[in-house]
Amino acid sequence: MIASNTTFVTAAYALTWVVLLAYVWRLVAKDGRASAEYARVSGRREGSR
Amino acid sequence: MNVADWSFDPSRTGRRTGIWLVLAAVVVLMATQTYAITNSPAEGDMGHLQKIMYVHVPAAWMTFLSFFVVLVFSVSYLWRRRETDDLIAASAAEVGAVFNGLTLALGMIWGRPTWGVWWAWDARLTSTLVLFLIFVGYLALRGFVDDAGQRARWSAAVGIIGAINVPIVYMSVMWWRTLHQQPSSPSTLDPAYTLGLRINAIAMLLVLIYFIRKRYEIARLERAVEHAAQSAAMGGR
Repeated sequence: MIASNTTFVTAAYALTWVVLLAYVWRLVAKDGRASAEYARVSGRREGSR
Repeated sequence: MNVADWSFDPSRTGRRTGIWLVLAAVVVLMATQTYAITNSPAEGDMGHLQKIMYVHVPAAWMTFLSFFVVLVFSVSYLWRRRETDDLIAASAAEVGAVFNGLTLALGMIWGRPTWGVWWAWDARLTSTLVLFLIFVGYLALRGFVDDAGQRARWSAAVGIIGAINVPIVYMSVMWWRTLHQQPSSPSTLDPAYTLGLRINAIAMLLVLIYFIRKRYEIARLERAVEHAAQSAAMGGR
């Protein structure tokens, strides 16, 4: 059975939003990890002075 | 760049303003997609499948734009050896790979009901896949090389080679007889579809700007941590 045109259009828009929001999520998570690591490293450097 | 020269203060990079940019991008994209879906008439041959154009074509344009940024900053890095150029190129490469993958997937979803197949080894699809694989390789390369200078030089070389593929992808439908249609642009479209395409491209551009900017900020943070670790390994000098 071939899905209707509406199904393909819906799938295309849904995929677009899933990919874009997943990448936003990845960036936010990566930013959190990098910020924490930076704070840890800069705190360690401050403490060593 | 000398390790001691690397100074970075996250509070001075406008990191918190990024939230406004992403919110604006999301709202504008929702609005432009709603407008395009509800206002464009069903196309003569494809019917409502034509509406996939409003996500597929802007995603392809953002892919090309990202890899153009990679080209410019890779050349700039090889010329001036500024570390920030390498980080901007790497950020644009990652974002470009996301849009490239999305373009391929959307093309498959559009191709199945239009051509009857999910995939065909025609010139446009194949060259777009090659472009995607080059930039996946670029990102893998950055993960494998520890030395920052060597990583930046090799990445710049791969980035330039990859970006050279962009005009080949664009011209492929004119150079070879392919299943894929000729390029869509506002000048080749029925006026009923041009506004929808234009505003969706602008909305996708906002998303692209946010992505590259955010990824660059993270890359700077990661680099600062890397420099601090190197500095600590050298005894704090």
